Amino acid sequence: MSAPASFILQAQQVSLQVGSRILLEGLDWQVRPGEFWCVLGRNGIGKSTLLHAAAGLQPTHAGQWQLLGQPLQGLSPAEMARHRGLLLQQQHDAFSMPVIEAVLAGRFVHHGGWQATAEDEDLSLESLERVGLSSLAAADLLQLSGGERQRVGLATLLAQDPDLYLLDEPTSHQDVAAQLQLMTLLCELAAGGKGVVASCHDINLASRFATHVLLLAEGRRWAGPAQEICRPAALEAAFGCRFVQVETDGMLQFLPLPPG
Amino acid sequence: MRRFLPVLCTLLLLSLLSLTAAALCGSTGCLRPSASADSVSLLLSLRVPRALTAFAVGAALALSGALMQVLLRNPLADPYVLGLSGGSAAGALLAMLAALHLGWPVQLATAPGALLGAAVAMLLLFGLVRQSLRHLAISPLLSSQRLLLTGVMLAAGFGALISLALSVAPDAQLRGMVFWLIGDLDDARLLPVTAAVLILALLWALRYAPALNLLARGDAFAQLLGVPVLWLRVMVLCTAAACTAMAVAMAGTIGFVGLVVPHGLRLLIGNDQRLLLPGAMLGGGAALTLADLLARTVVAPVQLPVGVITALIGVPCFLWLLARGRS
Repeated sequence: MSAPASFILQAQQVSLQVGSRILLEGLDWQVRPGEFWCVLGRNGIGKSTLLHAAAGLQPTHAGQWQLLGQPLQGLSPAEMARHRGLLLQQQHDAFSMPVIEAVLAGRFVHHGGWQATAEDEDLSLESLERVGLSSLAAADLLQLSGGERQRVGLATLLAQDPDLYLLDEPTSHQDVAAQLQLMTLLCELAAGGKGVVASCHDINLASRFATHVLLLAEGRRWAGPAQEICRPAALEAAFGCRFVQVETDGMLQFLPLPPG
Repeated sequence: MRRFLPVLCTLLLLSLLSLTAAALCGSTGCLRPSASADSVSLLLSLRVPRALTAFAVGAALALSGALMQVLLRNPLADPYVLGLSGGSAAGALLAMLAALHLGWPVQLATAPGALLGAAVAMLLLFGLVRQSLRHLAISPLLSSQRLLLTGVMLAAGFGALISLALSVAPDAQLRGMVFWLIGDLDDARLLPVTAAVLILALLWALRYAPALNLLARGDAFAQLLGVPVLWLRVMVLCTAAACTAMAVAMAGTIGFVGLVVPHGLRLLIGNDQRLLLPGAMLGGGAALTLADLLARTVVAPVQLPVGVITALIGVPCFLWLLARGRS
């Protein structure tokens, strides 16, 4: 992985299918360092499948993924874990444990051995601080709320410190203030030279924070800078409802209206 | 690390005490300093192998149970849940019947039969869940449910074979077969093999305990953080199966140790596999040694089946731990 790669993630003619249902065909798409992509689209259009496939969790039906210039298929789980991380939509935990230990799991691939180092523990605490949960470090994971658990997952991803951050609906369980904090954090990560790809249902959050948008629709897709893609025409075609554009404090907002 | 030592030392001490007690006491009473040297060495030569057998069987069952609970992400899993014990028991009973039929000594047929049965059960299981073992389930419940249901179905099938073997067995053999099924620690011939398997399993478990900690939180989660999940799951299954097969071949199907000891320890010391796996081995060994001691001494000179004692003591202990944890 020493070769300088201009792309962190590259999809070459990627086709994805779940069961017999084809979700995506012939996707060519690149994520560069410093880019923050939001993936938008209706339910079941393939946002999660795309993220899972990019993370190597799910087989790609056709085409191939390149992670930092290397074919994803040829990488071992440990090599993948050093370079890409994915925040799953849901994390089911059956056994209780302190929050800080849950976050330390993100360091697994870095220490790889039996025992986390002091540096790993510092990094984990720092990650918890960045998601605003440092006061809960000693709390039991199972007693946290859904939104807090999701942020523990994000802290785990921060501790893992990959080059490519994949996040499956990271704002889904968050209150509005936490949503803003989270999007700001993702912007900071991208500004720091990471690649960030997050699926999202909030068009306004996406257009405000993301640098790029991948908009998926039945048989069509739009990819490019956020300002170019987030236009009523494309959104109407993708979501099947009308949008009006409102400007407040210099920010564009999209209000969905029923079709008709 | 530092917080592991006190727990492990306590469990080690408990193990040594239980082994000593089991070696000194038995159905004919406890050894006294006044006893003659001959009777001391005679009693020790009977009781020491039995105590060690109990310890090894308990340790193997508890380790296997702890591994199964991680693999299936289900606190109710035990070494028998995937039909391994059923396979062993069916194998052992069928081997006993075959030996009777052919006029061979029954004692010699039991252990090979049990091992063969466990191997058949394992091959059947792997064959049936091959597909889901090869793929990673994104949904955390899917893959383990498939494995669990397949195992439970296999167990039901072997249960029917066991009933069949018991119903066609001659009356004279029936009592011995039933006692073998409940669990019997009389036979120490497999002790060296079991000890070797146990040590290998422990070394393996310690090496991969950090990865198992991640696996306990989900297949996809562990894979994302760099654990080779597909390989690890097969290895967990093989390790647990080897431990269970040895335990059942040695002592029949002793219930409850494999479920209660790992789960009880988890309630007491948490779910860190680095501590829980060695802890479960020591705890399971000590628990079964003490249970066997009770089985031999409570209504001495009559010996109770040890499986009865493990359940009679395990149930209230477990319920107490559970109630304590909730408050």
